[in-house]
Amino acid sequence: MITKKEIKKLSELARVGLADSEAEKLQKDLVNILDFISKLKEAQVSEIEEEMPELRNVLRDDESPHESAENTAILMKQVPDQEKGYVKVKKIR
Amino acid sequence: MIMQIDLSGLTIKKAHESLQNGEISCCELLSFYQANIKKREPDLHAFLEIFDDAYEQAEKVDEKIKNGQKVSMLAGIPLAIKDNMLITGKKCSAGSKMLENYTAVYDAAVIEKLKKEDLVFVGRTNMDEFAMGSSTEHSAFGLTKNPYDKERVAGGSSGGSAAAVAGQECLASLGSDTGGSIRQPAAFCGVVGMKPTYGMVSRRGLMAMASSLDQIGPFAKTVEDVEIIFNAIKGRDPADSTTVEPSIQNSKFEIKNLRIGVPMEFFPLDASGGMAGIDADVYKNTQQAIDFLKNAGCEIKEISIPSLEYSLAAYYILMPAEVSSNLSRYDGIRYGFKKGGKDLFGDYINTREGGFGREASRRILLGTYVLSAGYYDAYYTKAQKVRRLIRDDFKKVFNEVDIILSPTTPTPAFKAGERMADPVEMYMADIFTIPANLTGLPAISLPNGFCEKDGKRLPSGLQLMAPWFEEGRLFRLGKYFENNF
Repeated sequence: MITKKEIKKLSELARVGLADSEAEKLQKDLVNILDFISKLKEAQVSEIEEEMPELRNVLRDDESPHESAENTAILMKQVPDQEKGYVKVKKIR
Repeated sequence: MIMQIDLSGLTIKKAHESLQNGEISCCELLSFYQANIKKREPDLHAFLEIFDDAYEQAEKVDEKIKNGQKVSMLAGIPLAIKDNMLITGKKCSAGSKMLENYTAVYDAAVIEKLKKEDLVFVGRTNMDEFAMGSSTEHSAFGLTKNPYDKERVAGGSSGGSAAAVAGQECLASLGSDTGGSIRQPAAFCGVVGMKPTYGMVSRRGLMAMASSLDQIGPFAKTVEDVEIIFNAIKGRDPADSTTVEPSIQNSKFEIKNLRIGVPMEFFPLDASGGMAGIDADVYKNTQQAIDFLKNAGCEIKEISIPSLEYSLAAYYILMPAEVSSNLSRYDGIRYGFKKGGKDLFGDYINTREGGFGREASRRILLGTYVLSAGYYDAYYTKAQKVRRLIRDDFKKVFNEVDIILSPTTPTPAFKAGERMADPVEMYMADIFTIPANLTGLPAISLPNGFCEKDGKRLPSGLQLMAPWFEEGRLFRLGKYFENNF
């Protein structure tokens, strides 16, 4: 059972705004979905280890960097808010 | 010299032959598909954009052929790309308002490989937003209709890619599959669709949905065409650390005595029920396929994979969890849709509210929930353990059988709007396809007969699963089935 308060909390955590009507609909949907996945409670897995990927920490050597600022222009083209070559954001409180 | 080509009978090999011996030029070939696109798109809406440089691409290939240069099997072949794979300079929106005007700044690994083969990219296809959905109804830009029945969905999330091939708008296409998003629309649209073993195809340049589940794969009309494209796009990529170069799989393959396992949880051979309500025609078609294979000399074994009953639940915990993480990058700061608020928090809230559709929001919040303090162990950790259990069960089962068979979906394509009210109903469409993603196993959907619904013939699909890295088995059995059934 997921409450309106929890929905609001989730919306804040995920930074996804929700109008009241949307929040209400979402609450109903999530209750429905959580009920559906609650089936997992029955699974007997106490002896099982978590699934881990077989490949771990596949890293390349720290060498051969690309030329500095090679991609900057093309990337900056898509930045919605910029000033003097900087990506502009509002102040973090 | 233009000759009339029967597009519906065309394959990559046939097209290649005709191009090589000058019967037809790449531009002419493309023009046939463009004509079909013009005719069918107003109804189908398989594409979000038809690239205006397609003829330019085709001309380059024609030049090469004219100069006597040897070109690859795939040269000049018109291919459509799902709208979540980056092509430099082209818009790429993932079916979302969030990226409606985003322009890709690099080529996805698969695009790089296919460019080397001189394929012609026809356009980007419609999809459920950020690959979340089973019908393409969650696209921010309208749904794609099923070529067999305008009132029904093409499936999803790669609905556009499936419909484009079925509608003869291109010879083949690429899609992505996280929970069945290639195989299910392939089944709904009557084409071949395949999901490789996790790690066989690089995900660099594929917009991530669920990183441990996503794979890119081909759609085509024949198994051989799917195999040709798979071979062109597979391979270890240093820039995708989840890719592998498998040790050569040389396992013997013979139809005679091939052990085919049918999971009773998916397809009870005695029609007694099973996990999903299987449509009567789908059941009949699957049974006929099984009988055919039995008569061909295969050994049909009923197998049991009890942990399958948890696969849907595990998937709908793990996938939203990964989605909530992967979609956190869409914040309107560096690219994409932006809607400002009164402060930084407001910027995020408004941007993500405005940019994401309902299904995407639903899954992000669900993922946030299952990963949050107090719930993490009960949901996410448990689901990871269930995932391990399912993988172990499949490992065991593949000691007894060589291939696992089931219907691809419990029903043929449903009507548009039918499953939008209850998300869980939509999720059930993935019940047979999800295990291949959870385990990383390769799987293919083959067209297998039709279902009669409201006086219309709707395709149904047969799914084959093979052990890890044994795509070869899927192709060999698939070709045998295709040619002899």
